Amino acid sequence: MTENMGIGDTLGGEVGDLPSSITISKFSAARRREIEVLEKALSTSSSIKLAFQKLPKHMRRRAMSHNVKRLPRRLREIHLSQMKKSGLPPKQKRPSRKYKRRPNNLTSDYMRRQHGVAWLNTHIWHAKRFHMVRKWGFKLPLSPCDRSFRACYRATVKHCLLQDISYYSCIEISGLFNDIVSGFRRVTKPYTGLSVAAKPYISGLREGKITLFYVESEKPIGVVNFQWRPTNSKTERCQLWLWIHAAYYEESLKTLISCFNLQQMDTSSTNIKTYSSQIIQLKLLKWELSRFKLTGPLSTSILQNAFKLVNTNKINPEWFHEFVKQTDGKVIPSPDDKWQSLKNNMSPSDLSPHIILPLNIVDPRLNFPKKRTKALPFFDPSCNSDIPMENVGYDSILWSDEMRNIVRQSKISNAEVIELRRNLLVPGSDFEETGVPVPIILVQRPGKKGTNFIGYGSGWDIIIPSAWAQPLWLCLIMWGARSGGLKELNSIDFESSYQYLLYPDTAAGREEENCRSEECREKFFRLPPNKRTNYRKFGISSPFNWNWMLLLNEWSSGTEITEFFVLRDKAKLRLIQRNLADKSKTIEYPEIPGNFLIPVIIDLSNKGRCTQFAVICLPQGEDIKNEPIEPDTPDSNEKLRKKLRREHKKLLKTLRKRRIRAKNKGKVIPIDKDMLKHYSTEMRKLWIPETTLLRHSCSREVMGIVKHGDFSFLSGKSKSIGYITVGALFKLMASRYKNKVLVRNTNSRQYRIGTLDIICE
Amino acid sequence: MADNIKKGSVNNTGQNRKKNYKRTSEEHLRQPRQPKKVERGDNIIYVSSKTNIKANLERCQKLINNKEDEIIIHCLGAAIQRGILLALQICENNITFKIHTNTLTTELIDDLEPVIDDADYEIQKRYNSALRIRVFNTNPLDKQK
Repeated sequence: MTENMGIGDTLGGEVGDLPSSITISKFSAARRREIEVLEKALSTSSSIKLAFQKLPKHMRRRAMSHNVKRLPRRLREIHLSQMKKSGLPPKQKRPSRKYKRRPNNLTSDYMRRQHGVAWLNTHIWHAKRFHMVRKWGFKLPLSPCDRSFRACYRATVKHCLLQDISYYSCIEISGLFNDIVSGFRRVTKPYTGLSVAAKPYISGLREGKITLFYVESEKPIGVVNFQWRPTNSKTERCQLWLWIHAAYYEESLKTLISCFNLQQMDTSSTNIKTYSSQIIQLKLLKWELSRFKLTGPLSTSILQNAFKLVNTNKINPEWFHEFVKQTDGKVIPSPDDKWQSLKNNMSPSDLSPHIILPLNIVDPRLNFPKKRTKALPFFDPSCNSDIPMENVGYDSILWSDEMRNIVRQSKISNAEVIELRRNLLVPGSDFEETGVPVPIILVQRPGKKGTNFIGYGSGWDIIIPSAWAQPLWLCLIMWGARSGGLKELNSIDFESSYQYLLYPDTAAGREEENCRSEECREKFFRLPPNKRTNYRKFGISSPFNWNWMLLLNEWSSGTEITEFFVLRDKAKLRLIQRNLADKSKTIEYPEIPGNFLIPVIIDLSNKGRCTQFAVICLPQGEDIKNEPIEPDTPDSNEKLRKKLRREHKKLLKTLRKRRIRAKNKGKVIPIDKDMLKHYSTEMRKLWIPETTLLRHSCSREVMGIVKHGDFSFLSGKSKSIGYITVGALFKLMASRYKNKVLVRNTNSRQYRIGTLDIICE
Repeated sequence: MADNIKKGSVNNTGQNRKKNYKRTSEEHLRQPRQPKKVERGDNIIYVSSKTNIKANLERCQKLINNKEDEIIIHCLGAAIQRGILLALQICENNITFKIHTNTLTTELIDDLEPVIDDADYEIQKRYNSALRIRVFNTNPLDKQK
C-alpha cells in the first residue's frame, strides 16, 4: 500500500480529505496489526458449536456425537478434546450375550423379572411368541404375535387349540365326607345347580362345577371346578380338589378358611401351605399342579399320539410298583383300556360329559416327533367307539403328596435326555420305553349344549405335575396343537354363548369392568378433540361404563337398590326362556326381586356389528317393521367446552408472559400443576358428564347394556352378550313381540333389531 | 358309557310308545349329542338342514371338476329331503353321474343331565332314519384317462 493520489478520485471523495503525505513505516505497521487480527479471527472461532456441528449438513451423520468414527478424521481430535472438556459420558458396555446366557446369570435374571408377578411354567415359551399382560397377579399370554385370531378360531372348530390355564389354582380339602359337604352347604346355594355332594360327582368319575358364595351370604365369589378322589367308602377320609380362577382365588381361600374354621399350620418341612382344624385339612397345591386346556375335535387324537401309556409290566421304578400294590393293582391298568378304546373317537364331544381319566404316560421327551406333525385320528369304521364304563372313578398317583414329590424329583433334566439321545445307535430313532412314568389326569369338557352348534368348544383339560408342564407343552405343540391366549379364551366363551367368566356382581368382575372402562376412557381422551365421538349427540349417557346399579335403580319401582345380583337360578332362567320362545299369550312370571340382572344373548337379524357398551332398548310401535333412527340430540356442553378452552389458553399466555418477565429479573415462578390438572378434569367432565340418567337417555327405553358384542364366526353374523334388568324383562314379556329388542352401538344413531334369548348354561 | 342306558321302549307305561321317545322328567335335562359321522374324507358330504343347498351343490361341483368319480352324501332325518335334492341336482348338471341309495337307521344319543343331586348322568338312545347316497360317474371315457 503505497501512497496513491488516485484513491480520492475513485472513492468520489474530496481530495482535500486525504492527507497529502503519510509515513510509510507507521502506515504499514498499522496494516500489519490489522492483518494479524484478521488471521487470528479466521483461525479460531468464537462460536460455541461443537466440532461436528460445524460440518456442512451434507456431511453430517446420525449419532456423530456418540461415535467418533462417524466424523471426518481431521475433526476427530478436536471433537475428543471438546468432549473431554464437557466430561465424557460414562462408557456403558452391554454385557455380551454369551455372558448373559450363562445358566447362573440367566436364572438370576429370571428371578429378577419374576419379582412381584407370578410366571406360568411355560412363560419363557409364551414370552417369545405372545403379547404378555399382567393380570390377576400373573404374567399371562394375551394373544399370539402372529396375528392368528382367525386361525385360532379355526383350530377350535376343526383342529385343536391349546391353552395354558395354570392360573387356575388347586386347593385340596380333606376330611370326612359329611364334614366337607356340610361345610360347603354354607358357601353354596342349591338353586345354582348340583352341589358338591351330587351323585354323579362323589364317585370321582366326573368333574363338577359350583358357584362359591361368601359364608351364609347371598354375595357370590365365582365359579369353581371340583373333583373328588375316588374312594371305596364314604366313611374314609375323602379328598376334594377345587380349581379356582386367579381373579377370585384369594377371596375364595379366605371364605373357605373362615367357613371351616381353619388355622394355619407350621409346615416348614414341606413347601405346601396347610391350614387345618380337628376335622378338616386344607392344602394349597398352587405350584404343584398345572392345567392345560385343549379345545377342538382333534384334541383326542393329539393326546392319543402324544401320550404313550406306561407299560406296567416292564421296568419301572419301585415306588410306582409299590403304589400299584398298595391299591391292589386296581388303579393303574383299568383306565388304560378305556384310553386305548378311545382311539376311534372322532371328537371329545362324543364322550360322556365331564369324565375324568387318569393316565400314567411315558416321558414325552423320548418320543417327540422329528418335526411338527398334525395328529390325525386313527379311523376304523368297523370298530365301535362306544366305550362302556363302570360307575367308579380311577385313582391317580397325583392325589398323594409323597408320590407327587417323588414324581418331581425323579424327572431327569433336559440335558440328560440329550445325553441319552446322543448314545442312541441309530441317530434320531425313538427310545425304547424307559424313564419314569408321568401321572396326568384328563378331564373331558362336553362343549356347547342346546340346539345350535352342539359340541363346539369340546375338548380335554389336562392336570399335570408342574415340573412336567414345559416338556408336555412342547410335546403337544409338536403334535400340531395351536396355542392361544386369553383373547382366544374369551372368544371361545363368546362363540359358545357363555357369559364372561367374571360375573358383574362379583368383586373380581367389578374390578375387571372398571379396568376395561378406564382403558376405553383413556383411549378416548388420547384422541384429538376433532376425532372424538360426541356421545351426547348420539344420546348415549354412559359410553364407557356398565352402570348396572343406576339402571337397576331406574327400573325398580320405589325401593332403592344398594347391591345387585346376576340371576343364577337355573329353573327360573329356563322358565323365562320358555315363556319368551312361546307364542301363546299366557305368561307365567317367575318371582324375581328388582335388583337382579338377567344374562341375555342377542342375535342381530340383519346387518350391523354390535360392540361392547351398546345399549339394549325396548322397541315401540312400528319399530319391528323398520329399524328406527335416533334423532339428533343437541350438545349443550359444546359451547361451554369452547369457552373453557379459550379462557384456558388466555390464562396460559399470561402465565407464560409472567414467567418470562420473572426470568429476566432472575426469578423462577414454578408451574401450577394443580391448575392444569383441574382444567383437564373439568374438560373431561364436559366431554363425558357424570351419568345420572340411563333408562330414558335416548328415544327408546334402555333395558340393558351389551357386555361383549362382536361378529360370531360360528353363526356367521353379529351377536352380543349382555344383561338386562328384571323390570325391563317383564315389560318386554308383556309386549307384543316377546323376544325382539333393539340394539344400538354407542357411536351410531341406527337401531338394529335383534332376537333375545336367555343364557341358561 | 358310564351311564345307565335307558331306552324309550323299555319303559313300561304305554303300549304304543314310540321308538323315538324323548324322555323328559323333573330329574333330568335332555342334551342331545351330535350324531356320529361314520365316514370321513374329502368326497363325503354330510347334509344338514342349516347349510345352504346352493353351497353344498357348489362344493360337489368343485369335487367333480377336480375329477372326483364318487361323492357320498349322508343325510339324516329332516335333512333327507335336502340330501335327495342335492343328489338329483348333481345328476341333472352332470349327465354321466348315476345314483345309488342305501337307507339305514342311525342311533342317536342324548345325555340326560341331572338337575337334582340324587340323579346321575344317563344316556338315552333314539333312532332316526338316514340315507346314504352314492353319486358316481359312469362315463367310460373318463375312466380310460
